[in-house]
Amino acid sequence: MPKAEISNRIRRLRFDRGEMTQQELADRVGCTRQTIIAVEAGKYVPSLSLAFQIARVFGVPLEEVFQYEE
Amino acid sequence: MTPLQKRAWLGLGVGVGMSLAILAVFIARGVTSFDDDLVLRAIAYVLCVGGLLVYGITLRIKRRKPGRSEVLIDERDKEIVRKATMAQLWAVLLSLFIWAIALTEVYWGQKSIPIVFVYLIAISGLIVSILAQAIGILIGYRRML
Repeated sequence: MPKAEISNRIRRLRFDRGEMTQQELADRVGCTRQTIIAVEAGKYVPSLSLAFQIARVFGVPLEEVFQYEE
Repeated sequence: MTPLQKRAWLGLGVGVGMSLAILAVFIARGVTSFDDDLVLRAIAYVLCVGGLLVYGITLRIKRRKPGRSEVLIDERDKEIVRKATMAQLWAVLLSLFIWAIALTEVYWGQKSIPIVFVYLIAISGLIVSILAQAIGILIGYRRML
């Protein structure tokens, strides 16, 4: 089975939303700033629940935030 | 540094501190005198219980900066703890396995094992448990940060 990678555009979306800080995003989705850093860097894949919350903060569909690549 | 990382460093400190203190006490008073030496046993008990109390009490203290309401523990922290707890379990099982095999091999000819080793197995299990979880958490953060 090929290895799957989940990439994301959170950093881009934050800057597009008036340079929202990582702490602001963390506060709005109810996680720590370190988790946002880890997700942005691709070191941690968030749960579906957190992924949906992040997408909701940016007002975009989930697929615009996270991309599944084989 | 997250609260969980601070807790892991604390666990590492308590584990190493307890190990060194108990080792020093046993070396100073002699392992062979354990059966008759009530002071040695009392000191070892105090070190174990004291170490656990310090660790337990500190875990209860939530350090939140005044005026800030940010989340302290989230799903990633819980995932790291879950993996560290598995590592902790395996480390304790491995230590028990090593103790059992080593003691059996060493004392095979004598057909009996000195009672002090039961005590040492209990103490080492406790220390391995604290250390393994702390190291597991710190490695988890290195991988997921």
